[in-house]
Amino acid sequence: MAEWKMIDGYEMIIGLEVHVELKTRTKIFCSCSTTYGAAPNTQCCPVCMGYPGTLPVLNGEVVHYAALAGLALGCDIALYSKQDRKNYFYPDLPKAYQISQFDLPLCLGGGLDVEMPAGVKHIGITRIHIEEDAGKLIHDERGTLIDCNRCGVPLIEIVSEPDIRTPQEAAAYLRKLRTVILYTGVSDCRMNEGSLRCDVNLSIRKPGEPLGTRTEMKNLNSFQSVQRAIEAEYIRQVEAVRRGEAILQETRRFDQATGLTYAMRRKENAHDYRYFPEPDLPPLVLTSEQIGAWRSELPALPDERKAAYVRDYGLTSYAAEQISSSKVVADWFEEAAASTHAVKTLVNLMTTEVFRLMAADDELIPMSALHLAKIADMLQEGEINGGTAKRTIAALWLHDEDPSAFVERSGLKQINDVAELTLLVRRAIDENPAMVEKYRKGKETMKKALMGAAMGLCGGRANPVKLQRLMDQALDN
Amino acid sequence: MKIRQVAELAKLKLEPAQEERMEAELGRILQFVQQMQPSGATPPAEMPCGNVLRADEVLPSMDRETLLSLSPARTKEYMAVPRTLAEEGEA
Repeated sequence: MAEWKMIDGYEMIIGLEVHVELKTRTKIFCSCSTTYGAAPNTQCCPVCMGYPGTLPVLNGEVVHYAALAGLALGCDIALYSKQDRKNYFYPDLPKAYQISQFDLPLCLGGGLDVEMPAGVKHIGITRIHIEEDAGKLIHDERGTLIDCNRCGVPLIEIVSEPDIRTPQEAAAYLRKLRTVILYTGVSDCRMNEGSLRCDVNLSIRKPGEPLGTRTEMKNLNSFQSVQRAIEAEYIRQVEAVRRGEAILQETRRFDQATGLTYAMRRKENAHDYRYFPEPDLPPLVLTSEQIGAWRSELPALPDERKAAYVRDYGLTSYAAEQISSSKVVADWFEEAAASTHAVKTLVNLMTTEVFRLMAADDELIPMSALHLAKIADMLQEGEINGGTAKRTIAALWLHDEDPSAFVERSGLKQINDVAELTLLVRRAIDENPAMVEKYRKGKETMKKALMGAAMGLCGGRANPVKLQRLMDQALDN
Repeated sequence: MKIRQVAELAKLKLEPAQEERMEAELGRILQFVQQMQPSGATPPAEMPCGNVLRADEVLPSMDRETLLSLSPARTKEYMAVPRTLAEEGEA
């Protein structure tokens, strides 16, 4: 995506609200399962349906998971928090209100550092609160159908400070947020299944001026649509202001097909939700000991690992970022790195071959980390060459085994013996007199072709450095 | 807050006579609440009952047929309501 350009000196002020579904087994206030993709209306009970006379009971694991996410994002966990009713009429929540948190959320403060081309940028997090998800509506020509399975699935809403200034920063923040949450293990963060959804608040102003009126775009479900929606809404607001029109505080919908945003409705004032303390739930009181115990459960987070990889293994910042961006990959890499002396070689294999195969294989790594470590060792020791290393990784990806057994069986051991290599050079030259002739007349590329021929004679097993030297000697002397 | 605005938020359609009656009734309720004064006592830092939390263990949900039979209308395995705007969702 092209780098964003400011129009007429207007900067954009963006805050993001990210909803993340927590991976608890049961809903936030009842014991119904939260399994994704169940048959419609099979995971509902009188509590999540809001029948009269029922009482919600908070799932302790929701508090635990939300606190883990908060701690990983640098928030303070409130010792005293409470839940509130947010009243609204819409059939996606049969209770006619959502239990959320208003003035005393579970997590406060925090933030993320994101890497931008111009340097590291800090984006603040205002708060994280727990709340219940709504059901799914299906609209057809005859009416609206309701599946209440998702009613009461636990969510955390992560509200950023209005610190974001470009679409690229928004995308970088979302990626980093997703990475950190995935590290904590409290959510799958699958945008296609709706377990991570993003609302964008955007306004424009000339730098130094007071904030303009903001609009909100809801439920964007991919990093790309977030960026596109931001670009479209920025342009719309700048053009409206140029024409002398006022920006209205409203919710707008981003249309994927046209790439434009459309007004949906005026935003009600906050008091129109008539928030009030949830009378069915007591406040939540935590202790510093409990919060400390949760903090000690957190794994080493991406920033920490990235710094360690650069410091301890001499990785480039870029390679360290790539490897630390997934906990599965980072854990696997650390296991491999601990059992090889050829860490640089290991990283090269990792960022080329392993990443390529992973991309084609849905992010899974079917081969043992220790086997990759061994391949790196064999490559470093000259037992195999680069081509064989690639072939071996590709083979082990399909059927994992000891790499030296595979190399042995497939006859792929590198040829390092000078007499044997000299023979290969001799044969390549004898069998290709036309190439030699052209090379002698000045066609430099013919040397490469002759190298290819020599490699071809031994199935690519020749030590390339030694072979090149012998080829140079044979042709140039 | 005007009675009509409250009615609108509560999705109630009131006849003029009902509006008048409701206005009087709500006025009395608000008056009653306004009589209450802060007692000056400090509220307890912790609720006497402590946290009420549930273990994350799945229990069987309701039988779908029972659930749907309690809904005013259904279409196949869904509750059915008059067509609503696709854009109004909240959570």
